[in-house]
Amino acid sequence: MRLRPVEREHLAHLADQVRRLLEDAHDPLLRRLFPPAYTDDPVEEASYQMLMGDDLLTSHLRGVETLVELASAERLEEVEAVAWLQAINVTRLVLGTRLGVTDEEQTVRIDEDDPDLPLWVAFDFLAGLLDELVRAMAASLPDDGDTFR
Amino acid sequence: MVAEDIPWVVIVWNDPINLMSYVTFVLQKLFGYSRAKAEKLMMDVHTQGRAVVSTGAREKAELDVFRLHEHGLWATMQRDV
Repeated sequence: MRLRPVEREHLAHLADQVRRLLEDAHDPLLRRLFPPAYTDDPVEEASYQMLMGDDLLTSHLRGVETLVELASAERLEEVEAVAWLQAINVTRLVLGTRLGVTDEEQTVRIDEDDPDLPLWVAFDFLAGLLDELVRAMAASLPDDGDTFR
Repeated sequence: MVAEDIPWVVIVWNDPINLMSYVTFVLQKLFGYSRAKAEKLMMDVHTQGRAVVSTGAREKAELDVFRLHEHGLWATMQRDV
C-alpha cells in the first residue's frame, strides 16, 4: 500500500473516530451502517434486528479496529485487504452522513471558508483510496462468466 | 403453492455515497458475478434507483442482506411478487 505516513495517520485517526462512534450503536451518524432488511414488515424487521443486529455491529467494529491497527502496514494479506476495504467504506459512509451528502453529483467543495473543508478533503481522500484498493483487488476476482450460478 | 415456496428477492438501493467501482466489486465478490453482470446491476441501481441482486429462500435472502450491509450497501428484502 503506497501511502505517505501522514496519510496513514489520517486514515488511522478517521477510523478511530468511527470506532468510538460505534461504542454507541444508536448514534445518528451511524444510521447508514445499519439499514433495515424488511421495509414492509415491522415484525419481521424487529426479529431480524434481534438476530443479526449485534453481528453487524461487531462486524463494523472489528473492521475499523483492523484498519486502525493495520494503517501502518506496508503490505496486506488478501483477507486484511478485504477488511481494509470494508472499513474504509464504513468510515466514508459515516463521513458522508456527517457531511450531509445526499446528492451523487456533490463533489468536493474547494471552499476555503467552509469549516467542513478538512472533512470534504478526507471524504475525497477515502474515495481515492477505495478506488485504488478495488482496482488492486479486482485482479483476484473471477472474470470469466457467472461461475457460481 | 405454499406461501413459503414464493422466493424472496434481495434489492440493492442507490445511495449517494457509495462508489460505483466499489458496488461493482462487492457484487462480484459476494455473488460470484462476472464483471459485466456486476457492472450491469450496478448501473441499474445507479440509473433506476434499485436492482434485484439475488433471489432465493428467506434464510438465504437474510444472509445476502447481512453480507451486503457488512459491505455498506443499502439492501433490503421482500417477497418476489
